[in-house]
Amino acid sequence: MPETTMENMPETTQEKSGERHITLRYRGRGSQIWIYLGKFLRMFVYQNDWKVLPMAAVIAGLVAMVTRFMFFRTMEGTLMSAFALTCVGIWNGCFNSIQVICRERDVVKREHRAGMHISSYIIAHLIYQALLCLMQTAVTVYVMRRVGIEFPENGLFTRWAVVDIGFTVFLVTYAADALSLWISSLARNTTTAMTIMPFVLIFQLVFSGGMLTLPEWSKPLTDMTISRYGLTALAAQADYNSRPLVSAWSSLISMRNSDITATVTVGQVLDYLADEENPGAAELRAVEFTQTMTSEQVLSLLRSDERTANVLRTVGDEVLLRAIGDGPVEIRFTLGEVVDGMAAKGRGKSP
Amino acid sequence: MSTTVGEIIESIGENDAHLAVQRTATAANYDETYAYSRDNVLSCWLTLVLITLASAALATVTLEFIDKDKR
Repeated sequence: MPETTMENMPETTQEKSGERHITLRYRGRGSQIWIYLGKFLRMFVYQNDWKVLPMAAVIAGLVAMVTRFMFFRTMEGTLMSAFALTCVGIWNGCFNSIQVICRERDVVKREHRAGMHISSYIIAHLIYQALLCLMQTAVTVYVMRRVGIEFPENGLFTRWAVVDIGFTVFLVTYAADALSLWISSLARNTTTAMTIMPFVLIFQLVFSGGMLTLPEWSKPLTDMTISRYGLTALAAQADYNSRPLVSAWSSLISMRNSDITATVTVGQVLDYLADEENPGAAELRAVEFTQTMTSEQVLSLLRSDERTANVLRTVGDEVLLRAIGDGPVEIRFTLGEVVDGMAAKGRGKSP
Repeated sequence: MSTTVGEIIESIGENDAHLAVQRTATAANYDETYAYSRDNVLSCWLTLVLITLASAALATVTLEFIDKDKR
């Protein structure tokens, strides 16, 4: 059982002419904060509260071992790792404070009746938990670096990204800690608090919005979770959008031997190639062809088309041969020109 | 027309196909929510601080009623 502190309510006893006068002198809110802070620090040392630090190290180590080859490297790996790091923060924060108030509820009740200010008690808890979360964050970041996670060099706010990311982890841990403090103040005993906690954790993880595709109606719920903001901040700081997405290529390679059967008409191919807005089609349209022909081959080609044959008959072969010359003729054209010509021919216009 | 995914990849060239797929997939997965900007991170930090303060306030209000506990 935690110690009972009556320090916030010292009493002075004075005896005057045989009568005993008891004067109660309550300490102010500010003094009570320091008294309770002292009590919590003693509990950290003597009641094994310090055990949360090695626990944080173990959790960070396990997560880092899994994420070290994907965090800050790939798009999907960064998102998963940011989610895992958010979970670490929420887990640490929840376990720090889920039992702290409900386990000494009777003591709090008695001391409140004896003059304790609830606000002082909560502020003392907040200061103590902030120190605890700060230490846990330092341990988490240190262990992650030791295990092999390579943090980026420059951060958005400081010169060291590790400091920025550490601050986010601290805020996530601290917010989860404060939320658990509230749950602990609601619960009448530790069993109730520990029963509620899994629901809170599941809610935070499911409604983070990063890992599961959530329906539209759940958006207001997502906006209330710590995990959503933790995940967003961590993914943004890890520059999620600049990392390469590797799973698409991996999926494609795993389908390497899969058969594809499709029916494509010439019209579909031409339609595709006629679309100049499409970058893929534009690249293909720019492909250049070179054909070397003799003057006789040019003439025979022109004679093969009715419209050019008519022109030839009017002009005469000799005129054209003089224009072309005797040597080979090099004709250059792009695929786009061919496609446009065929399209124009299809519309009944001369290419 | 019948072919395999591997044949298509080979016809394009494995390196070129890899780059093209990765570039297209990365661009398609761009998410404004995770934009690398100070404003984005700052708004998340601010919301986390607000959640912390709200939880602390709720804990204080809840404990103020501790005397009304029924056995």
